[in-house]
Amino acid sequence: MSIVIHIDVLLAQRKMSSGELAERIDLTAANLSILKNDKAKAIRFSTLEALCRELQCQPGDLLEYVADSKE
Amino acid sequence: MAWSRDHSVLLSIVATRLIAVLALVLALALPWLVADGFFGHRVSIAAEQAVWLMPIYYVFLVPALVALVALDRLLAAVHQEQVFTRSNVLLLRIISWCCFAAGVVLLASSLVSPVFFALAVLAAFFGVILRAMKNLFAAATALQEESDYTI
Repeated sequence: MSIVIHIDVLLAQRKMSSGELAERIDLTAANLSILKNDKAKAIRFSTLEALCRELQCQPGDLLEYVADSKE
Repeated sequence: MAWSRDHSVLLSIVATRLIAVLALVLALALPWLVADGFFGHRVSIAAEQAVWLMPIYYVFLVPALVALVALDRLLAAVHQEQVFTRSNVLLLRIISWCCFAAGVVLLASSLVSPVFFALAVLAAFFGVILRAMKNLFAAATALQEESDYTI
């Protein structure tokens, strides 16, 4: 996976639980888990916006591009 | 009672199982039917051809039963509203290959009777159609997964 999402890091920095974040952005725990485990294929702008709002960060803080070892 | 998709799937499951049972019953009864000259008297098949019916049918039965079991599992998955899944794509692939296998058996059997050649072409045609359906299901499954994993 080339795009890594840093929800865990930001949650730890904000001292917020996954359940609390899921509730605040109106996402199910299962879907948040998919995001956290880098299993998501795409992310909606509305979800990204809600994450940035609740975690008080920029999209760049949440997402990171990591080059694959083959590249 | 209104007819629904659910009833239609259930009817398909019943029909599939019924065909599987009939195929097995025929497999068990075939030695007696051939020995009694049933086919010779009623269906006007020459005696030497009737002798070949048994091995042809038993070889044909293998891909047919595999296809019926796969079809039963596919319909059971559809009944549980799991339509566009990788396992269903695999099941369609199995059924398609079973049609090709049945086609090969029937093609070899056309040495006994030319009727089998027409059946072989038909089986191959079904195999191609099912292969196209398998490709469609694979594409739909990819779209479904894309949708499911868009958060």
